Amino acid sequence: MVSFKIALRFLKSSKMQTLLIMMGLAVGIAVQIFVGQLLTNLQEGFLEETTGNASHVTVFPAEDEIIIDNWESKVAGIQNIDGITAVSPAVDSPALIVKGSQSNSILVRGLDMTQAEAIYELAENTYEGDVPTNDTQVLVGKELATDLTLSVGDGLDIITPSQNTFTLWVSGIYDLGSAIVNERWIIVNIASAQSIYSLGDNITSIETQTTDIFTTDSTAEEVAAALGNSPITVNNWKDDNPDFFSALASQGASSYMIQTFVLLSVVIGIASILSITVVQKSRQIGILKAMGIKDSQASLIFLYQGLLLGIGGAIMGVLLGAILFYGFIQALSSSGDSIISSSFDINFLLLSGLIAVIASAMASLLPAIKSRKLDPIEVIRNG
Amino acid sequence: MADMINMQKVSKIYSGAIETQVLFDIDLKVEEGSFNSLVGQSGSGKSTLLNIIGTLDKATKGTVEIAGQRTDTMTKDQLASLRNQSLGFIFQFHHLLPEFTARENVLMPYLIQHGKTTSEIEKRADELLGLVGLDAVKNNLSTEMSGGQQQRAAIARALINNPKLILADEPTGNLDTDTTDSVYRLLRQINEEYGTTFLIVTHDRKIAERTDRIIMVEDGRIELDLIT
Ligand SMILES: Nc1ncnc2c1ncn2[C@@H]1O[C@H](COP(=O)(O)OP(=O)(O)OP(=O)(O)O)[C@@H](O)[C@H]1O
Ligand SMILES: [Mg+2]
Repeated sequence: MVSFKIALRFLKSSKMQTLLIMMGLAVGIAVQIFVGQLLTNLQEGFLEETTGNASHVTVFPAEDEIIIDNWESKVAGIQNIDGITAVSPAVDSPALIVKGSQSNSILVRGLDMTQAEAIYELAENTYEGDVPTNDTQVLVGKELATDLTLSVGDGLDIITPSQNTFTLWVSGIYDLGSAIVNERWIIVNIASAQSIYSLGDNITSIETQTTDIFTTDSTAEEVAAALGNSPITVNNWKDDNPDFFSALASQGASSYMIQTFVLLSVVIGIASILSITVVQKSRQIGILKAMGIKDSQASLIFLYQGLLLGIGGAIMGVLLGAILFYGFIQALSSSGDSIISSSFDINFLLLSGLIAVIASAMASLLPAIKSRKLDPIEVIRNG
Repeated sequence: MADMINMQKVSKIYSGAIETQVLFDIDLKVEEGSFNSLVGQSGSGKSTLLNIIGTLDKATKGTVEIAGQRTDTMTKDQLASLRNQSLGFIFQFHHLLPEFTARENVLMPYLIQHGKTTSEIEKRADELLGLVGLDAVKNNLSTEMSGGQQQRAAIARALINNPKLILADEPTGNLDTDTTDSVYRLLRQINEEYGTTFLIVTHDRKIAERTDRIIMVEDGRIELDLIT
């Protein structure tokens, strides 16, 4: 108790120094929070942008098959697996669009418009016209529409691999955020695709979305297990895009590294300043020891100082970091469309604050040990 | 009467670049409740002797007993407790804590022992501050007091835990004669009222002559031991 009182008084009696140390700590914490929060939100936004309108776990026919039969029961079997949020059947087949001398190779995608909504949000992503409502209508992508100068109501001839020609009518134009998709996919009713390719009631894939893109590999295993003895294979987004994940992981690692080094430099700074305060206060410690303060109590004075500085610095730093990050996001979103959200991870803020407090208490360990060695006779003898 | 201090064959050797022996086989007994002075030339070893008695310094050889307890074999924590509860120091340089007021400095030895102060001890601190004539400045930081006032605050601080033995190293070294006089009358008064044992280092012959016993040190040896 006496140690705490003395620690508090030491800090109060040199306000400027106390404030400077706290501010040094606060700036470090603020930078750490800013970097950490920015990267987390950037990755989340990036991930949402890339995988938000994509199938996470996809069921395909086994290697020597071309169709999935009896698909309603398979869809039902997948639906209840943990982590699966949407299931949608699809009929995909390549085709050619010939217009004048130009020919585009495209993919006809037959979707159940209701169930596919949960994955592709077509209603929202169709910016002109509407999604197909009958078997002769088709939804085309933004880039394809520009390339072929198509608009809502136009007719479109497609040639299937078996050399049959079908005429479809453009009901709307979509934008799924990726030029490759927009150029290549034309979207029709599932029944329309089934009749174009004479598939009867069969389909070619089952698409899903999951709660967590990082565990799609294990979700895929569960899906495969649920469909047990059917002749199918199951792909997942994670295994299909290894580069994407290693990029995310190394980005994350570099962010942790920056955060760690920022904190480390702050801790070293505090440790060195506190070491100086032991020298500054050696007279006082000597007097206190002559009056009978124990070595452990003397050490506690410096630990408490570290703790108090840590708490003050952490509170200031968390606030500063939050303001900095929020301001940055506001400035960013006012200058255009931003994929980074300004949402805060409270746990991350609290953890950063806690780490700051612990780190500065640790930084005071060295001066605390140094103060033990201080012999009162040196002070008494030399005045 | 029992011995408050009992030193036998105490030597002190500083071993630096050159070894210097400062104290030579000192035997010294001081009775409980007595009022003693320690005199001698500058550099004769008075402060060294006092600091060994006060457990701030260690003897190179010999044994030291304070109130019947061997101090040369105690641990650092035991020594800290002994200093806190049984000893009071008044140093050559007053040594107050500059971050604290006079009153807080006086209460510090109590705070070290108990962790917090009570209204009783605060009353006692105020009484002691009154006794040394510091009523008017007791809430000043120690840096906002004159040298003599700081010295008197240090005296009040030495008394707060009711120590059995007070060790004073030239407590009036930088005070004028009037203040010196009042400080001595104060120490004498405490000695008579509480039976506190005093060992006072002084250069002032007149002061020494007013104590019960004069111990004179010369070149690290007790040359003269005079009961007045
Ligand atoms: N750390 C040290 N190393 C070596 N010699 C020392 C040390 N401290 C003190 N001395 C020597 O010990 C001797 C006694 O010193 P001490 O301080 O006890 O003298 P003193 O009688 O108190 O003198 P004064 O009246 O000037 O205060 C001196 O000669 C001094 O030089
Ligand atoms: Mg001296």
